[in-house]
Amino acid sequence: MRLLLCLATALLTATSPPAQADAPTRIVSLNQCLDAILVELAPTERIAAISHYSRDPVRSPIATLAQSLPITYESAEEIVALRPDLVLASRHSAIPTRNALRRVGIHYELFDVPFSVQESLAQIRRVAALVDNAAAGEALVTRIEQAIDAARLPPGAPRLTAAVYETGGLTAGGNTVTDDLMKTVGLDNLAARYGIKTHQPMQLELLLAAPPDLLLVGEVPGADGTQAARIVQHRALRKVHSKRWDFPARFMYCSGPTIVEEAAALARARDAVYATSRAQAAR
Amino acid sequence: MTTRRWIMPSLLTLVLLLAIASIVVGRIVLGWNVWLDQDAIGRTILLELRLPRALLGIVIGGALGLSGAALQGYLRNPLADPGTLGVSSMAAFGAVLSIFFGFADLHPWILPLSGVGGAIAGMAALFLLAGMAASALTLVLSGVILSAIAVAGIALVLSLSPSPWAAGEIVRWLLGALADRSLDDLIISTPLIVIGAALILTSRQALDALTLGEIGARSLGIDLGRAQWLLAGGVGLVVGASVAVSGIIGFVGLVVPHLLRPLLGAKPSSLLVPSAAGGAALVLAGDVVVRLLPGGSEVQLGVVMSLIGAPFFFALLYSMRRQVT
Amino acid sequence: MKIDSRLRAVELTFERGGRRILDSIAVQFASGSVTAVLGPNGAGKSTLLGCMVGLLRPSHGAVDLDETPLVSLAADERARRIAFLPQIAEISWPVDVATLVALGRIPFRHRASDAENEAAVRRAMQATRTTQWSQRTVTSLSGGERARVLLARVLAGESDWILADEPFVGLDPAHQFEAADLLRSLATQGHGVVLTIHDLALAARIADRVVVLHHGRIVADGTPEAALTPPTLREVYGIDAQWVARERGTPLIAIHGRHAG
Repeated sequence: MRLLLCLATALLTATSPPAQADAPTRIVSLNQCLDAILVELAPTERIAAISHYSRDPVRSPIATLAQSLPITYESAEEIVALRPDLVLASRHSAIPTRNALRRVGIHYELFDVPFSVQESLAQIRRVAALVDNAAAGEALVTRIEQAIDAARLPPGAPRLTAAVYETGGLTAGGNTVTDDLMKTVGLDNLAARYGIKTHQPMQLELLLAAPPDLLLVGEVPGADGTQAARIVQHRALRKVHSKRWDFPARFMYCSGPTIVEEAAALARARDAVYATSRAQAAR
Repeated sequence: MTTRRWIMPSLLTLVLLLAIASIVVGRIVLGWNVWLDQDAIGRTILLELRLPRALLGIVIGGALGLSGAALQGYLRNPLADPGTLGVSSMAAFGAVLSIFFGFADLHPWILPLSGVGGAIAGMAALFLLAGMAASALTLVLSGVILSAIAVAGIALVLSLSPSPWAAGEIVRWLLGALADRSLDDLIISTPLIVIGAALILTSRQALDALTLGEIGARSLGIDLGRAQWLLAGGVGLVVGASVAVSGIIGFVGLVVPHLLRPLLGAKPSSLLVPSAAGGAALVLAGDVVVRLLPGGSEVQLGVVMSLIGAPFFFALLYSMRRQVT
Repeated sequence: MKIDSRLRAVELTFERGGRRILDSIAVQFASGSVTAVLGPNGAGKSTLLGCMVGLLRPSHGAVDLDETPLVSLAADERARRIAFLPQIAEISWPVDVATLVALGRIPFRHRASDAENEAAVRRAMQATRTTQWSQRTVTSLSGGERARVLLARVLAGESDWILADEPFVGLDPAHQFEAADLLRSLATQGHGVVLTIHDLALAARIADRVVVLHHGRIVADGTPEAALTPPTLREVYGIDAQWVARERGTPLIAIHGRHAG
């Protein structure tokens, strides 16, 4: 019995952070979304490496900055060689890699995918605390909250229906940051109404059955003729006379600082629908 | 005949050389003085990452080669593969379930043990489906059913994934790799693989006797029912423990006996241990290649094995076809 | 070498799929002779042999080997004392001839030394005149040559009993006589040889004793002349046949044709 208790305590404390007196100076981030938060909160000389995905010019919001930062390919060897004093990892980082880090005594902080704006802001505050820069964390949170406020539905303005539709029919469902923002901006998410949760493909016929006022479509990649691209160009979509607005898929990959851009885009899309309906009413 | 005697020592030498290569190759360059220096980092990388990875390459490669040779011998068909019995798919399913439900995060042993649990469930299901007096055909068909169920289960898990990243994590694990595996994985898999290998090796006379067909083998006093379950149990343990640790690495069990048959003769029992050595060499070689390929991330080992194995198999079937016509 | 062995079927019945294939068969075979089991298709010849070898479990009755029930013998020991040459030549792998013949020594793996096994293999290959093919792949041989190699595998066991199911099918006449003479010489050496056979003339030539099966029952049992009388042949095979005495060699059976009516 005592052995079990000792074992349980050992397991529970295995992932508790070591006592930190000083701010970490060799920070390694293993996840593209955490990278975007990290570069806002820590000076580059304290960042030992970020994820190689941050250099992707299409999907990463910090692609240019990432070119000048060291990167890893998230292998345990690379991480060990960097002698990090703080590692930021996602719940979906490879389990063998996490186990290897645990074995050699490298502690990592685990972050889940945020499912609401509040969760995303909490993550920012948590990263800020870990890098010992709470002030920068609050500043980023404030900036994001201001952006959300600016995009908030003006009082008296009508709510619109909207849906996100990316390649493969991927949409943002009920418990996502995107859905949260849409609610604030005044857009009722069609996918949430249909009970779709997180990021799942949405059937085209749901769009046809209840065409939303606003269709937020992803950018179609250049003429590759894949099945996914054809869906966005699907003949049936021509019958959906919703207002279309570009909504890059990378808005759905990460939240954090991206929320600023995403909220503004949603607000502009909403305003474009208002403008169109005013123009139509004037005729 | 004398050339045959050199095959096994050559294979063992090859395994040793490739194991050394596997320890040496990697993104971080380890100096020769990693032992002498106070290079704690280098020593950590060597002992906790490179060494378990090389040892796992030997153990898992040996497991796959041995089980492939054993199954081909038992089913009297050179197209049999360790996955034929469906146990590897069930092991993968078990592991994937632990990732999906989040148990795998709790402790490093949970994911591989879930895989082993899946393999054991698979063997029990095989026994139930095929029955005590099953023919080889019934066994294979039962394996097909099990594989179908496991694959459907994995597909269901993927479609229920809470986010594309969760699904991606599962897919990456399934593709098979030895990267970042640790001593824990070695400790869990090796005893099971050793037991399974012992079970397989006790049936080697039955495999030889089956050269004369089932009637011929039984007339030689072989208990085929016992042999079948020793083999199924052995292959299940060996393959299940391998998949539980590394994900699905294919083609090794299919390709290695084929390569060795012209060199060692077609007698099934004489192919068993050499196929283990050959499998170890092949997996180690693949694992070195994945670290030498250009591009930053390592390609998954299972992918490299398929890229090597599939064209090889195409060429083999093509040449077999020409022999027949 | 005198082997005094008896292989006996007692009230042997075998049923499958509602059909009674063997009906209460009682027969005893003695070592030192060649017994041919004859009968039309479906008479139960292969089933009888299968039961006598221990490959098939009878529904009723038993098979005894020297007063010991066959089922009570360990499979290994049974395999050492009774060798079986199946009708269909199954060779799953392209092994060389020496390896294939050596498979006949599997029942002896815990009993005999490697040297003894190799000697037995050599003797078997000499008796069947297959030594020159020792390193050749079995699959590269012709049908007749393969049959000799499979017979060598059976001989390698040097068992008291050799039971063969249609050993002459697919062989040309010269090879048939060669195999027949080999089986005869084995009987002369004291082994017990029981075989099923279709060819009446060959049976008459090679067998000391003939057992005729019809609808799962023994309808004739004796020397070839005594058992294969024209009335028996008419009833069992539906043919008109006649024994023809010859100046040299054993009598022949001349088959005139199907029995009218």
